[in-house]
Amino acid sequence: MYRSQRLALKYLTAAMVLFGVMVLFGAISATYYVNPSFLLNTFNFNTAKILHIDTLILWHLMGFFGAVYWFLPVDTGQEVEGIALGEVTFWIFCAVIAVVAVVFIFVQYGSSTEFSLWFINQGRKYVEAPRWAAIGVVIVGAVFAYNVVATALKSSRRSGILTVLILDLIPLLVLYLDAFPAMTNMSQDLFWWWWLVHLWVEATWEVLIGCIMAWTLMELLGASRRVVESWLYVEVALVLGTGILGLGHHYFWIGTPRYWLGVGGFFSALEPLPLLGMVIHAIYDAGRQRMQTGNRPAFYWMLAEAFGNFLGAGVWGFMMTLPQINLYSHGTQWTASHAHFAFWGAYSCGIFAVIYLALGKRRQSAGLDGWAWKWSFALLNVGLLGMVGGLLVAGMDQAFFERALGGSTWSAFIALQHRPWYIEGMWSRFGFGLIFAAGYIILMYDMLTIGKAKPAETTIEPREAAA
Amino acid sequence: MPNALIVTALLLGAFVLLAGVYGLLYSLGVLLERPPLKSAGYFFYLLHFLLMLTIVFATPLGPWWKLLIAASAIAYLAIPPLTWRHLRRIHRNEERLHDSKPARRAARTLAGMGRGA
Repeated sequence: MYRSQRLALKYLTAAMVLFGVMVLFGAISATYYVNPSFLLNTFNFNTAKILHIDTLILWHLMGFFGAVYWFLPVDTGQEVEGIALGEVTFWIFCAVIAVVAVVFIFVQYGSSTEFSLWFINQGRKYVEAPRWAAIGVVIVGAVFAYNVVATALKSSRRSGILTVLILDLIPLLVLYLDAFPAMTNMSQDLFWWWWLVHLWVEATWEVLIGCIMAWTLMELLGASRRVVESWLYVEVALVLGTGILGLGHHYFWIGTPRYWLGVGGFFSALEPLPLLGMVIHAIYDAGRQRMQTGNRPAFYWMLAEAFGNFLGAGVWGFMMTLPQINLYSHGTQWTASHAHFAFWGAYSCGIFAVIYLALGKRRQSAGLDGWAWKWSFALLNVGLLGMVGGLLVAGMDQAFFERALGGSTWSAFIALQHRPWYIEGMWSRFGFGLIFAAGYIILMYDMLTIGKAKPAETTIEPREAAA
Repeated sequence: MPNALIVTALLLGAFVLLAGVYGLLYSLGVLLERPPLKSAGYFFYLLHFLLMLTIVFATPLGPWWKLLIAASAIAYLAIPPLTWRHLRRIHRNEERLHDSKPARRAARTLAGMGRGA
């Protein structure tokens, strides 16, 4: 095993721990909705929500880093360049996250001063980490990029996947710099802020997960590199073609020119098209493999990724992306429903697939299977579907009664809190959230134990079999 | 628009969902060589198409958006067969390369080395 792969396992472990923190603060946030006096004057709802969303971003980022550190030496046939630096920055990353979390929990917020901006909270949604921590994230990202680029330059094997990944690292890093400006004009601030939030999630992350899934397909199913790469180019072109200007759907109501309504709506409407292509691709691969593989958990999570992405980003997104609908649905629980489903489908399931793949290799297991992964798979997916269903009902109620009929007034907001569908939607989200949390516990148990009992047998790797 | 908000949104969601069901059944039909599944796929596409007509004629969306939705309904029809054909072609090309003379020679050499060992 390469040193880089040991670092990958650390990153993937940290990602799973942060996933747990995200679930915990998600459950706490959900509790405020069904019991508004919960932790009154002790712990702010805002802080719980910040921790829920920021850990969402961070655990995915750590998962991506871990996946790349896992596959990179295999792809290039050599140890990752500057791996020692990568190891140091892993601990820096963990320390930064821990300190920021402690500050968020115990200090929560500060006055409107430069000190707060630098040491407590930047005050920008999703990138609330204080400025010193944001600088830390930039350093970690820069070292990660250096590791990838230097390894590619040193290696004689430079694959198409690696080239796409390197090109993707440029916007990935540059766009994060958008976390820093503190503009006083809110329209301008939001205009650039969306470059970070949207283009990270719907462009650079899509390409990143595309590269990771390409490597996963090769490792898991023994897919040919030529096939995987040619498909990766098509998908990247389609995703970027629709995703970059799909940015416009965030520009609808923030004071930007009117033409963004057309641009954003048009490209957003095209976004589900490549997602359908991905579903077809998943079925094709599953069929070629006849649903048989030595690593069933990784295989099922990979399939869940394709379907979840289509449903969460495609179906849920299209319901609310056209300007006429979005006028009322923007920023409601409806959006939260879409965000939960899309993140889950597009990224989380893919990272679980990589983790199971790495566990299978690490433990040299003849075949990963058992009851726990099936239960965690079922509970997590049922929990998620229940949550997004509850949020969708509550969000539609909110969009209709608070926004469309109520005119987004304060009294309409208060009236909404007593509407039965809204309340039931919130309770449903809370209940299914607990099911989701149970799924997380079993998932952790499974990841800690799976494949440990079974000693390795002589098996033919899919790649060898394909050869 | 406010009164039609929820219905329009649900129709738009169902529009994409039915395209997905069509794609799923079509692919399964081709994969498992079961024509009834493929026919079921076309049935769901028909529902998708009818839903598109409903969106075009019964919702208060603007004419450009309706045109976009009508055009995307045609694109959805084409995506599963085109994607399938593309996937099959790149796999076939790969297999052809794999079965080419140099590859077969290398395989024979490797097999010989194995026997020698």
